[in-house]
Amino acid sequence: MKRLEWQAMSAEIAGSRAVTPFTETGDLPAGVHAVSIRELVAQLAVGTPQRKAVATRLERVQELATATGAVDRFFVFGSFVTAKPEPNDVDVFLLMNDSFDLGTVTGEARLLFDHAAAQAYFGASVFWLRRLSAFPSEQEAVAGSRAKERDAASSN
Amino acid sequence: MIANDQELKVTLERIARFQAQVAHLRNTESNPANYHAAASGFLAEIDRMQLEVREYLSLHPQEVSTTT
Repeated sequence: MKRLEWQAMSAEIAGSRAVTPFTETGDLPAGVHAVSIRELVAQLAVGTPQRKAVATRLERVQELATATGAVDRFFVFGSFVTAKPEPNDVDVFLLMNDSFDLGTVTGEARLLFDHAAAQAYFGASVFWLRRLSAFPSEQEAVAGSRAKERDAASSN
Repeated sequence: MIANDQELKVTLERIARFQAQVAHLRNTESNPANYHAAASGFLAEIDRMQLEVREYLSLHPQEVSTTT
């Protein structure tokens, strides 16, 4: 599995990490690559207007998700984290802490947690779980959700 | 779109994995609102993959090779 992650609640720790270079096939090397959102956008929102647009969506999703105060792990996968010049959307997997209650989330942030609404409103394919519900493990739950694209990159 | 039997196998395995995840979620998520929202992504993806499988299986191998 190839995926990319940053720990949303510990951006300082991952803050200096750079995005791992792509392989010759345009993918990230297999495994999870911890990076900061700043580095991710700086290095991947380049080349085409579509890439910049998708990066803007990702930043908005990350901002709203983080504002809930309940995101333990934030994974990005799919075509945005490959060398594909025209990614369709951004794919995100959120592992929320076990006390997360969707009923406490209001406004735009609430839309993030409804898959169809997030797709329509943010142009993002969002999967999420409380950590206790990840099956058979957090690692495998995230890996199993990775992109529609069979060559997609994503997490740790 | 599924192009060959290997991709069919991968897609079927992924469907099974997603179904197992939702079944587990159903038993572990005590909050109904959390459950419905969290399951929505997995169920949508299962629907999308099942449609791909159906489309692939609806074609004879000779037709698959001419349409991909």
